[in-house]
Amino acid sequence: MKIDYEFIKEALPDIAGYIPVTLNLVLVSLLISFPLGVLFAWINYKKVRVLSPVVKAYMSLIRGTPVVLQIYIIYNITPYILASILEKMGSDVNVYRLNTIWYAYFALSLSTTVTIAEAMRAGLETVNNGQFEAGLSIGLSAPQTLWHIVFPQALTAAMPVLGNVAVELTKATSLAFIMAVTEITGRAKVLGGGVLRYFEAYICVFILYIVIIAIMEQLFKLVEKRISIYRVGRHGSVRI
Amino acid sequence: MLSVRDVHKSFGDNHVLKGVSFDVGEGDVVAVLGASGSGKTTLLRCLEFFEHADEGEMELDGMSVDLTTHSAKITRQIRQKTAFVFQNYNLFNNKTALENVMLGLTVARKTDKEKAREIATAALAKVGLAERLDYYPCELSGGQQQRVGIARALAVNPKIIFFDEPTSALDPELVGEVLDTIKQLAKEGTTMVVVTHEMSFARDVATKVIYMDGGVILEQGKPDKIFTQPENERTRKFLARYLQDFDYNI
Repeated sequence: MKIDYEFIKEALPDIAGYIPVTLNLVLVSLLISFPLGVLFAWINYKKVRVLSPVVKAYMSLIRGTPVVLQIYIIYNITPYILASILEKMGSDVNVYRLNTIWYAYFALSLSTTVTIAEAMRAGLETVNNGQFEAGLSIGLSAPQTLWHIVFPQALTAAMPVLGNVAVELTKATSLAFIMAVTEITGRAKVLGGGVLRYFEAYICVFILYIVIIAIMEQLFKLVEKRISIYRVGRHGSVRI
Repeated sequence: MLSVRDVHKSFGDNHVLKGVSFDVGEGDVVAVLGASGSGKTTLLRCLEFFEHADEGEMELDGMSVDLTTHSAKITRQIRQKTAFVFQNYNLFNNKTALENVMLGLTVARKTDKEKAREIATAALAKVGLAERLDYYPCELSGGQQQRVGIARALAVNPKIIFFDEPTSALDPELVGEVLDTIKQLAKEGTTMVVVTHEMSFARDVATKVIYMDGGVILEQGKPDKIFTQPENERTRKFLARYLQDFDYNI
């Protein structure tokens, strides 16, 4: 097989031009699934009545099915459901003209929420209840104690896993082309298909994913190091 | 100052507190003694609303409360007047010593940051940790952590401080520095209730000693009296076990 380097040279910047779409998918999905994941983690951690079994059922449903399948189902069924709801409400909004990227956000958030909820619950369990009581004892309210004491420590403990979640999510955005969202993988498929140079086109996205994810990993490492300073201290451990 | 009436608390079938009543005057240092399982810690935890008593009332600084209440507002009002020092310190691990002490001021009481820093620095200096302001708990020894815990309690200027076995988790050589700190507070007239196994501390520092057994107060009074002429046979036995000279040669 002869590799067409000229094509790679042309295609790489073209495909790279779709990096913002990929990053947009990652960021918006994270913005949706992070608060939800934290909320679910809290519900499971506190074993909230009624809600906790519901959340757990949701989590095993999502965990037990392939993401591709979730995407197919959402992409094919949600518009019908939305349309019939809107019709009943007497709205004349046409859901079939809705930008399909919204379905992508939705589909990607489903599974990301689950993994974030699991990571954060494990994180919450690393914070001993005594610190919570200590917060209350000096007059903090429960939400204040959570915000200043419990949550930051749970986040720190969950950070390595959250980094992985973000990486997994970034790779999963390549499935968005199923929903007619053109991100880097989708663009490569289109470019490669046009001139039957699939291999070269995929090499390009291959490189782009490696670069994007390497940068993300470094960023997460930096953040992790910064927020976990309290675990190692600034003075070298002098604990007796 | 503090008046506790008829506290009952059960965990399932286990009746831990069976009607406990006592009074604490301003400037009093009350030592609560008793064997493990006698309900000392549970009593203290009920007064701070970490546990909900099944029955009982408390009057603190002119405010009467039902100890069975679940009201977040009342609970918080009481906690604003009290402070608690824990057996295993429970410092906020993600905060430096200074931040640990400041938090009760800046967040819970909306004290101005500069003012809070001043108060917190003074509190830490008082417990001998002026040099450790920016150290995280993981960088401090157990004794130092407990002293930060005491500074954290002091900084919010509570009416009363509850100590739950403050030295029980410490290595023996670190007990002294924490007891000295508490003694210092006692001298300055801080009102305290101290659950402890340190008999010499109870004898020398307390203004009042309470001896608990099986969920009730068997005896209470001046330390001189409790330690020299206990009325109850069980108190006598308990004290005898602790007060014999510790000069075993192994």
